[in-house]
Amino acid sequence: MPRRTPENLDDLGRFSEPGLFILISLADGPKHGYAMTLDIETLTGQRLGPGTLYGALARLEARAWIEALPPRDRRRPYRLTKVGKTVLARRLESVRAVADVGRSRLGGAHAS
Amino acid sequence: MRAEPLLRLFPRAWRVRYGEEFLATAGNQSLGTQQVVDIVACAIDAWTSSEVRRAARSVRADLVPEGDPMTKRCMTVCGTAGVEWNRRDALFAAATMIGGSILFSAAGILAKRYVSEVTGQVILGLAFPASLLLSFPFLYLKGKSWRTQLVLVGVPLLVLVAIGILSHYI
Repeated sequence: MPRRTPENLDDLGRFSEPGLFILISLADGPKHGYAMTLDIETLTGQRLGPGTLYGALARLEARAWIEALPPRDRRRPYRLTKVGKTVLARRLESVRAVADVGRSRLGGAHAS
Repeated sequence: MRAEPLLRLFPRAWRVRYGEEFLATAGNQSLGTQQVVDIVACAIDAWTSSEVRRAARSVRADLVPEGDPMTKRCMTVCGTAGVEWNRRDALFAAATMIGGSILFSAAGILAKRYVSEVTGQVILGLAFPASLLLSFPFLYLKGKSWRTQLVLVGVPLLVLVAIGILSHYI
């Protein structure tokens, strides 16, 4: 069983999925809350409520996976930190491994 | 319902840190039931999660000097941006210090006369340091839990009393 470390998205509990979406959204550059909501909606078809968004943002910020930048027109952009990039890369790798296994099993099931 | 009245459900530190951008993100349009429930759940979370409280108390990035990672790190860790001292806190702290010193001094003089020389000297010796410690909850310990305040004020107070008593017997 893999050892759980503080740098693990699973520790965010019910905010782990919104947290992952936010990290993915920030992977191509800083964004403010509204831009993240739109980007995540385009990416996943899921619109995060402002409560869920800021619950996840606060947790990611507390863990220094993202950091706030000076505000522009009342809106504050956030950017991924180095630790955040590592956490995201690790999670995407793990998701890919699970997806690969799932695809291969699905392929095997179709073949039989 | 709009998001602005719902913002009052959040702790003050959270409103200071995230309030403006939260409103900008939620927009001016009327919110649906699902969004209202989402915001109320977030408000409960902001009161109950120590992690969210820590993030809300962190120093705003625009107040931190650019290009100085050490200062930035220190201010983020040690910052108390969510807890602000006001005139009322300063007045309470000053009143506690001055009033406490007078009361302890009076009690020391009375104890010296009616109880014992040692008790009187201990209380007189405590007058200023004890009053200073008792003023901490209004200033340096503002925003901390009552348990933290009790420990950080009570323990040094007990140590001071012990030192005062021991100094008369050693």
